[in-house]
Amino acid sequence: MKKLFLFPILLTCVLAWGQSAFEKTYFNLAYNDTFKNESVVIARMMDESTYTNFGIDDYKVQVVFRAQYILKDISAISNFSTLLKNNDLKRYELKQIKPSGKINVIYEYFDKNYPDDGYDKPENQTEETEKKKEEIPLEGLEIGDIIDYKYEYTFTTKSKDFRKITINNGKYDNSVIEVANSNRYKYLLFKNKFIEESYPIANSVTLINVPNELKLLQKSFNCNYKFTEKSSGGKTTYECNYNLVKTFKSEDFSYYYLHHPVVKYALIQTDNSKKTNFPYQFEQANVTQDDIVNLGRKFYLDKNYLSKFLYYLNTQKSSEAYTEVSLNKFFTAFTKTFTKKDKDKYSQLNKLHEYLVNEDELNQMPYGDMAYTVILAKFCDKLGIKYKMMASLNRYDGNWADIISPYEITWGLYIPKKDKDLYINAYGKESNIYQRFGSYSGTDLIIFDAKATAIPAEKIKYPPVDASENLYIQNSEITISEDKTFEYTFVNTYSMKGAQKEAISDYIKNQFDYERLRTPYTFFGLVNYNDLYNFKEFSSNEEWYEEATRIDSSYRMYFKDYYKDRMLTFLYSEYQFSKINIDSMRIFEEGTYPDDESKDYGFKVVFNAKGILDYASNEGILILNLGNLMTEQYQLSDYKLEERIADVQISNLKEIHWNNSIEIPAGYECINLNDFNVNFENAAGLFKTTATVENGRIIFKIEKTYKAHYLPKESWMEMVNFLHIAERVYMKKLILKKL
Amino acid sequence: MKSTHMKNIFYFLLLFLIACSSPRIHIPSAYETKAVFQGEEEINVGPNNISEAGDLAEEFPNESIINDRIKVTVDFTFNDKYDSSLYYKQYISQNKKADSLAKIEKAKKSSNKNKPELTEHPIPDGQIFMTSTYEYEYKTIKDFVDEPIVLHYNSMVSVNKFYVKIDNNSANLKKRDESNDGYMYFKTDSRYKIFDLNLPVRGTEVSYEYIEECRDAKFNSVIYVPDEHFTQKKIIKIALHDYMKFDIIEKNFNGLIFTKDTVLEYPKSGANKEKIKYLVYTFKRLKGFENYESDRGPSYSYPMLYFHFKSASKNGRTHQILNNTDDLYRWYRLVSSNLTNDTSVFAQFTKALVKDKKTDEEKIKTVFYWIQDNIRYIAFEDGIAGFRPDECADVFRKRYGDCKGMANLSKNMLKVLGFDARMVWIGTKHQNFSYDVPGMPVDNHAICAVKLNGKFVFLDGTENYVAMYDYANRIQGRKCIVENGENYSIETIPEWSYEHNEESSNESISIQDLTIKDHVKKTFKGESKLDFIRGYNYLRTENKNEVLYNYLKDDNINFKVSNISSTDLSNRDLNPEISYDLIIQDQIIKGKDRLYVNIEWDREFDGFWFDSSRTADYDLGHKNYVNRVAILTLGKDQKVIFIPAAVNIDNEFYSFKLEMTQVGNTIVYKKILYNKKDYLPSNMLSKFVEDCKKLSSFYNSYIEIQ
Repeated sequence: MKKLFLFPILLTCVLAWGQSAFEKTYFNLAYNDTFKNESVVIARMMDESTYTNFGIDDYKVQVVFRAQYILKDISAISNFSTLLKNNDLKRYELKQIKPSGKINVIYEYFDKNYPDDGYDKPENQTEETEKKKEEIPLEGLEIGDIIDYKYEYTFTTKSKDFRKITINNGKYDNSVIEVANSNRYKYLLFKNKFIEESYPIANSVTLINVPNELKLLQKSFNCNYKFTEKSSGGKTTYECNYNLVKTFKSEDFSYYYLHHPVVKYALIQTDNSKKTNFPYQFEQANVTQDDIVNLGRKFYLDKNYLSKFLYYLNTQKSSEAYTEVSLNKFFTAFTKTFTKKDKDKYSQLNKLHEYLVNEDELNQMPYGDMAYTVILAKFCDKLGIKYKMMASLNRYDGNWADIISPYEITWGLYIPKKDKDLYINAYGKESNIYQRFGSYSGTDLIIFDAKATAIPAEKIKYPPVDASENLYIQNSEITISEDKTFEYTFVNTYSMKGAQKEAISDYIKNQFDYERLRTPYTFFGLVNYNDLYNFKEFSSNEEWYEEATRIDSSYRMYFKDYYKDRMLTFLYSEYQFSKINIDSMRIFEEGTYPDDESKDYGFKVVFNAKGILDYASNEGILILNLGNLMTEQYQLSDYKLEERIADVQISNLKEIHWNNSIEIPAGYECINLNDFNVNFENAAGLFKTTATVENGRIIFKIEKTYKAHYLPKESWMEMVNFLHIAERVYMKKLILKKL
Repeated sequence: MKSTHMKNIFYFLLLFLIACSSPRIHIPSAYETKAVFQGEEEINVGPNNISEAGDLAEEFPNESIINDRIKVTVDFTFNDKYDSSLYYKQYISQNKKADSLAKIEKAKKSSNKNKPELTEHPIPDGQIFMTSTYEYEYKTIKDFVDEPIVLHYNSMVSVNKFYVKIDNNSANLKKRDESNDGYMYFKTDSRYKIFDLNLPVRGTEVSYEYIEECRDAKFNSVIYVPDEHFTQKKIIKIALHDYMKFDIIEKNFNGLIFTKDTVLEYPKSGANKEKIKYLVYTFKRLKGFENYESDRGPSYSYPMLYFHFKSASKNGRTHQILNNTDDLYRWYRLVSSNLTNDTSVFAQFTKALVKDKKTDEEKIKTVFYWIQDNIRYIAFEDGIAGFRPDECADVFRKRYGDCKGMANLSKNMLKVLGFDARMVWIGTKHQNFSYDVPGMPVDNHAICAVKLNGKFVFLDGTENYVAMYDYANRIQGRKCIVENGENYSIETIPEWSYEHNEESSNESISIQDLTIKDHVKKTFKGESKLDFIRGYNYLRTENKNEVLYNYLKDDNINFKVSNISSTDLSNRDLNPEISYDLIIQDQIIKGKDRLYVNIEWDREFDGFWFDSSRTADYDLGHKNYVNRVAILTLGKDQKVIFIPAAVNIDNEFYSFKLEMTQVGNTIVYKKILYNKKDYLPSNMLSKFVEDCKKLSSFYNSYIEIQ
């Protein structure tokens, strides 16, 4: 009897355990749900982080997230039918609150053995492990129910003493090696908190509890939400409440950072005795140019920063695939990889750039672009290249007055050069140092001498990146196939520059398994360092070398076939033809590749297609889907199109040319060719087409240029009109009539 | 100079040493594969059969592997312990109540085993055990073949004694064990042993074998003849014991090259020292399984041996297996017989639910719709849970279940209201089996039947938004077993003609300059209605208007939709009607002396195309019926100089009738398209494509107006 009496008390204790005082109070408060036409409403949502001292100068961070979703229609029931539980959390709770207030516990999980410094996810986590995530069905689900979902995890600011490196070179196939890390400083929280969610929010709160030595810097955008501060007993609590937040609405050509409510916040270390371990921070929310310059110089001049660097080449012993060497030794070793192609100091710098942007270990560092910049700067010192350190902000990250944390800055180098100044940063894995990026076009850059502290910094403009720098040209020679009814043979050649070239590189990269595909791997000028050991082995043994060559040719055949398949997918997505056959595919033989910065990227493909020319029952009439030759155009849904929230943003201006020459069936004339002569230009873009008949062929040329990086939302319809006119021409048909 | 030379000597010496100390390998280690090097012994994957493989690759461009030989030896063992009456009694006493999920989870946690049990609900052993020995020999005909060996097992079927050789060397492959839990099914005891195998060099020969043991032969009643890949020779050898009575039905055998013999042989293993009679099928040049989009299900096209297990006799006792539908029903009844079907949890609720309903029909409908709307479908294939319905009280409480669970809840809620409601077992159209040859594959679904005015009405709770009497296509016309205590009856679900699924459209079209104005009124019935309202009602409330708008304008830039009004789209008893206005650009082309006007934009079956090698029927989903009448009113001064010629195609499977006629100053366009059956047989596909081209040609045609 006593036991029975104790049971409810015990149960209550267990359920309440793991709740902070704030959480208990917050989830008992009433919420104001004024959303009437929504499938799900977030009644309350809490994101609480608690920092406590850990070790000598580190912090343990406990993160508790909890949200309550009100289910309001049948789609909500269906969407919440089952929930996925990850297995790497300290606590996971799933409850259901019935409209009567009754609480059903659906799932509770608490890992008693969860390590203090957080869950150490295996580096080589396989897909199989992923599949072991549990799917939990929600019982008794009804409209009006509230799903109460909570999880908790912890981590620390302590730098791990070891980095885990995956070695995949045959000898050490997929083994994980731990490597001492000499390059990491500690770092604290920085966050751009986007307030809106995919469901509307009745109330939501962010809570940060810290020891008094940590201070929160903050700024708000497009809203008045602010953290309040309360201190007591050596601890400070920062709290920010968000009320009645509408659903995030996705819009084409917009970046929500600029046009949606955002609270930006960062924690900084104020204890002078600990500051040396937390160097990557600003002292106040109003960041000055001097703050930025001093930070850049501090890292460049810091002898402890990047004193050693992980390197795989030349320095290795026979039993090791890597080693860690001084930066100078790394440079010396790296210069030994230069070939004839690396003819001048700029191409040598470019090679290091390409190495670094693909160096996983460096990129995993919390502010890897600073490390990248310092290494590159020191290599410039070695090569005798004059440069300045450069702080830049992507055009979508706001302007310099908006920043509160160094994490918002992209670091790089500015190199004045006679023919074309270089603006170098670690923007893309496929980039080179000569490339200019549309997303920086026209932005303010802060440049400064890294060593000469007396020389004042300057503000310069990133040069505009015109549409012509991102040129895409498609030339199509389209001829009626011999002996085949209504089939055409296409000889298409493609040429791409700038962002267009980058996009196709990305496309190719995504089509292939990187590790297996050799040719695109070398697109980016990289040596596959992990293959080096094998290379040495094979080059020394004739028999093996012969076998390697044979295999290599199999590889090429394999990927040619594979690529053919992918190319077919590409063509089907470009054109809406019913049937396409690739006759020959010459990308490998006739292509030029993005690693050669002096050339456009280009390839040629020859294929046959049906569906361009259609029968009609009208006497002597054929229908030519001429508009389709400009390939599929950007489509906008026109539902409530006029209701625009955000200004219009385009990262890269683009200029696209389709030059088609298509044979007209003998004895036919064009009825409405003039429908294909369009000349449109507005603030958003230019769309111009010309269609003429020359020697039995229609010469149909299209030029489409995205002219503006930015349009205010009031001008959104200009963008719409520009896109719609292209889409309309794409849909147009040409009537051919027998003479 | 000297120094460099010395360096080179050192370098080559070092490489030589490395080379000597390395294992003997035949391909660069950059291309090593797990399969090749995980074995204890080194394996030669040298280019023994490369040229032969190359020739085969030309012959079979779509294959990466060719099976040289597959042998399947099937044998049976009598289960001496089996007693048809006692066995299930014992089983039932041990499993008094169907376990709820919470109980399972709890048991799983407390057991703290590294490897969870396959199921908490084992299926009791059957009268006859079935042992199949599989032997595979194949070679790769392309480089870089990355194809694991996958062996399926579950709580009824185990696989063991797996052994593999690569180029005649034994290999120890890494094994993964996977389950589909949480994917297709929420709970399933289906598992896969997966042996990863990457073979980089064409011509590599692989042989492997394993034994599959099934603890109840009736669950293994289908052996598919083809393999995934082309097979030069396949032998299926079936032991014929005197104590067993079974028939083997050869299904979909058209075009197969095979022989059938009987032989007497000593069994390879086991205690039996006497010769056994075997039925031996030898197939040659078997095509691999071909997966076609929208086929009707493998049982319609894949060659198979279908075992009709009738009975087994030993020691003077005869055990019926699945000799007839009586046996099948007995099995269904047995596995369900330990259900308590406690209705107390929902009795009051059910009565309250229908308290305002006056007629029996209204009451049944209310319960049926409540189940559709409130019980979510989550499938269970977990041992006996794959056959036995969950307790109705559990389904009600959890608000989810599978077809059996929903059927059982429907039945019991209706019984609470005093109706004669029954469980029904049925095979959907996906199953090409019938009660003529009873077996486990015949039925794959469960529904409920209720007597109303002396007739059965069938209720399928899994079909969200289906109206009462409006049976989903997949069960229409299917025979089913309706429970009736110790007895049962075989009933047939009504089947409707294509008219039942009519999607009609009445339109008034006018021309203004080069723009078309159209007032449209659409009505959906049957399956077209079900597709429409189900899709619509499952949209997020805030997205409904936008999705409807985009649906009506067909995502076409040249369409503008306005003035949308509709009947109540959440009412499944109404055939939804939608009316709206369309403004359409670019359907009129201005020529030198005339206007070319096209009033066809729906273009059903336009560009329909099949691979000419397709050998499987095409499943249309249901019998489509499109009925469009569009009246184009011309201006006073306009004269029609050309109207597209009518299309009139009619055969056993479909009918296309399109015609335009001038009536006064109007052109009346009538389009009637329907499929008389819900599939197209493979031998009609090329004709269908040709007829679709005629449709396309009509769709492309213009009315010429001066």
